[in-house]
Amino acid sequence: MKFSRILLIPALAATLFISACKEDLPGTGTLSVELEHLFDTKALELNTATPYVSGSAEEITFTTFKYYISNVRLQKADGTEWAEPESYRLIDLANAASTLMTFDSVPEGEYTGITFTIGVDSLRNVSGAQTGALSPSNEMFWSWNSGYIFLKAEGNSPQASGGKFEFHIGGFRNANNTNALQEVEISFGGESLKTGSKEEPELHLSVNAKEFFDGHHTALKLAELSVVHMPGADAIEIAENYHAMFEFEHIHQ
Amino acid sequence: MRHRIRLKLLLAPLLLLAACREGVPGPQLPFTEVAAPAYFPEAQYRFEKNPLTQKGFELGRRLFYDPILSIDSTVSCASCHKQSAAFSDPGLALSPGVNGLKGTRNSPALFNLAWNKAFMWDGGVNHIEIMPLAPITNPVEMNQKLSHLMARLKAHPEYPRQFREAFGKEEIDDQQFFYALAQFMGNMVSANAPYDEFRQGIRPLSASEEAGRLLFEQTCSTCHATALFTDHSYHNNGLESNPSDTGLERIDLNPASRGKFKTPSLRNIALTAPYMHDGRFQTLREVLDFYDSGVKVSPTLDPALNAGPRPGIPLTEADKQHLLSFLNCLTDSVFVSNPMYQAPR
Repeated sequence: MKFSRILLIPALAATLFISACKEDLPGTGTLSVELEHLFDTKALELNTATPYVSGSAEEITFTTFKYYISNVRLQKADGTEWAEPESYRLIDLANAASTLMTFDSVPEGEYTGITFTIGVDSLRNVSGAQTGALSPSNEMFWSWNSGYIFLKAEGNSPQASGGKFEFHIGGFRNANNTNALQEVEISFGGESLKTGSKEEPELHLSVNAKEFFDGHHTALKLAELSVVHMPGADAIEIAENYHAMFEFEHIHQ
Repeated sequence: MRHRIRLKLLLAPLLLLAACREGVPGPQLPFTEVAAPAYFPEAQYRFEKNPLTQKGFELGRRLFYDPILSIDSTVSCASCHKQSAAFSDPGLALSPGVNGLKGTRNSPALFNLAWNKAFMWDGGVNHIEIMPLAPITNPVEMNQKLSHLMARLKAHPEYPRQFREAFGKEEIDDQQFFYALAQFMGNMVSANAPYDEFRQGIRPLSASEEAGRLLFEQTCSTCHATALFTDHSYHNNGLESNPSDTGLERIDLNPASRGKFKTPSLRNIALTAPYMHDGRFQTLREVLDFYDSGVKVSPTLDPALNAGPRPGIPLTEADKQHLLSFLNCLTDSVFVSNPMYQAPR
């Protein structure tokens, strides 16, 4: 008797917990954000038979393409915003499920834009052992120079020295110009996204990896630079390039 | 006063735990700040998100001594960090990792780690919890992928139960793994040297030790500061430079950091030969001779070592003898033989 009562309490607690997770809190709803990865106009995939071609006419195939999206916030027209708590996601092309981001318990309302960080905020870079998306088992953490790799792009190119490229981009310190954190702000171009218990909005963003090579800066030429393994000036230039990858596509309401 | 408040804070979870276990108190841990003398500075790591328990500590100790951490199960933390040498690797400038591979840095002694702001000779690791990730994944140390290690622990006949008992979670994850190691490493407190008895008024220093202490305070304590004997900072102490190892510059990318390495604590220093970040000096005598006459001037040489008529710290033969006497007072024989830190049976 005593034994079963002891078991019952955690069992009940677990049930409550599970049911709480399944349904959004009152006055809130779910939002799905689909990331459509491209290279120029083609779908971005790993290990393609036909290489992609950068603006510098270099041929590129990817073996790894993964990055962090964190601290997601949604803006309303009145200037207020909702910030997702514990907002850390690892988007990995090798894991198709990761390209669909689901946000639970988004307060009911009409949103006009989304902002997020590519990378991991400085605090989490100095806070010891983390779990989930931030677990070092994901191999997005530098063991010898503590800090998250914000974006990892690896692959092959005949133009790269040794035929391979490896870009591990990160760096969260402001000192000595090593901060590669990128804040992305995307407006829904006048459209609004409605959330609530009766809404099932889907936001589509495109992520164009061609910008990694041809973005904000002078084109990245693999013939000149094919390996970045630490924070610094090269990492920042590339981060400023890939900042341009994200674009608003459309909303399904 | 500050100490007393902390004591209560640390005891509170203990009492709670004890209550859950029907009032049977576990063996007393040297809960860092309780065990540390009042003349220690405030610790950096306070176990706030990682509450100390006997089970957590014991799990951390088992992991520390277990070669399962390395890819071929040949190298444990203790392979290069031996308790008898204050958890350094006695006699070896560079310690072999898997397949006998060697790196570029001397295996540092491990104690009083809860006071460290950063880890490794260049300070590249910023938190005690993720410190073990560096040797585990380094190809010349344990060469293990963290995800592989977690899979091995999950498949182990005993670890899943031991993790569950320590952290109350169904499945092992790497945060629990790092928490357990931090509970063990963060509790390696060395504060029972003859010097501590002197500080506590239990034991007077001999004439030579006292002369050494006074000289030390004047000339060495700029960097080897406080009762921890380190300022937890980085200096170029004038060693012949090695262009392939730029020290702190490798981490902060600042040319002004070239050749700077972390000030090691001098506690237990008589046990941790060879010396310097690359183990280039075999004896403390060689170290003192270096500071007396071997310091090389470079743009990043610490100004404190270039303030006199010639670089370094001029020392007479008698000075060196006195300093050696004093440094020998920093050996904590209680720490290096404490069964609490020994390999579990």
